Amino acid sequence: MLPAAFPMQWLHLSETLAFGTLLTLAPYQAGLAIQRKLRGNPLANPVLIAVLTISAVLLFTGISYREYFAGARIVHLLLGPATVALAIPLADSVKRLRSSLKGALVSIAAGALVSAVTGLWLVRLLGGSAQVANSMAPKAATTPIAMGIAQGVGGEPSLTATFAILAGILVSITVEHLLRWAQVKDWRAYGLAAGTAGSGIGTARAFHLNQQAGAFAGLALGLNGLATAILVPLLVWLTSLVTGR
Amino acid sequence: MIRAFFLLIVFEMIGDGLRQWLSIPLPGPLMGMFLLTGLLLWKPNAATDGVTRVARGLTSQMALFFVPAGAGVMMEMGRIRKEWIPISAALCVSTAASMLVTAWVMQKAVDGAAGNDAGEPMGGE
Repeated sequence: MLPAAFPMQWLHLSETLAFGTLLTLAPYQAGLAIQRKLRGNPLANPVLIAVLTISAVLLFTGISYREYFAGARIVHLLLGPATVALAIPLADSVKRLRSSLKGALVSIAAGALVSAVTGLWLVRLLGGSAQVANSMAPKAATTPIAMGIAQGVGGEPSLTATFAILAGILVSITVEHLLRWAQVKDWRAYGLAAGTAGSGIGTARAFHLNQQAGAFAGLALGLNGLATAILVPLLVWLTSLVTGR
Repeated sequence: MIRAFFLLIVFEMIGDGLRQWLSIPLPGPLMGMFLLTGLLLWKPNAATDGVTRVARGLTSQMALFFVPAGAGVMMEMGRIRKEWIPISAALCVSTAASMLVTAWVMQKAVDGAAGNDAGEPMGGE
């Protein structure tokens, strides 16, 4: 028989924090080791491995996600300073590569448009509900922006957060092979693609490929958030005119 | 290192404050990123060795910081299962299309401006 729900109240706060942090660090560390061992296998993605392991542990022990997150929030809180820290490689790239900025802006706008249009319309074409389609449209924006947009257009914010994270994992698994196949040769293009389609998790992957790719991914992460916030409400409105809903 | 963390957190807080006052739809840390980028372009000396080192450390481990939020995906699995065909198809196709278009447009722009500013050459990993 499976053990009954593990009573987290028995633990003190410091133990809860240690537990949540350990349950985050250990599978991520293992994921990194597996990635190193299986060089080149894109499925050996540390974020994916960690997320699956944590989900399995929570399901098996009966600990709720909320309780786990209360413990793991130290790791989560580092996301803030890490995002601000993207400014350092970004400023460096902007200084050295001023003349490629215009191309970067155009490509981010194009990527944002393609992501929103295909996300919204493919769900509808394949028989999905309007709510799921509206939750899918802003998925390429960074999670907090995407959730805000979804709220505004009649989507479901928590579903959008899930799509945003899954898109990020998908990007970090595929970006290298897909763009090599498409004969893309410039690191800046890799970074912009990863940041536009995969926001934060995509940006993290870009830094593993190359510092310059990471810097441009950070730029794309920020600007795509803005572009998506403008585009998605407009597209949802246009779509509602056509479908009459 | 302490000073570097102080700088990053101060900019995160400034970004958060601005977001609340002006109700800008960008999250605080992203506002902080843009503001700090502006400061660094204006005063490059602000990026001391310590700041650069901490920034490199944080950004190289950024994937880890997404894990706690990422595990929340399991909470939505029930709802995803109900419409899993449109969801998985749209997610995969839309994400791949967005990556390809973004990269192709940039590659074209870079090819057009060849010679003006070469990016870092792509070598092995």
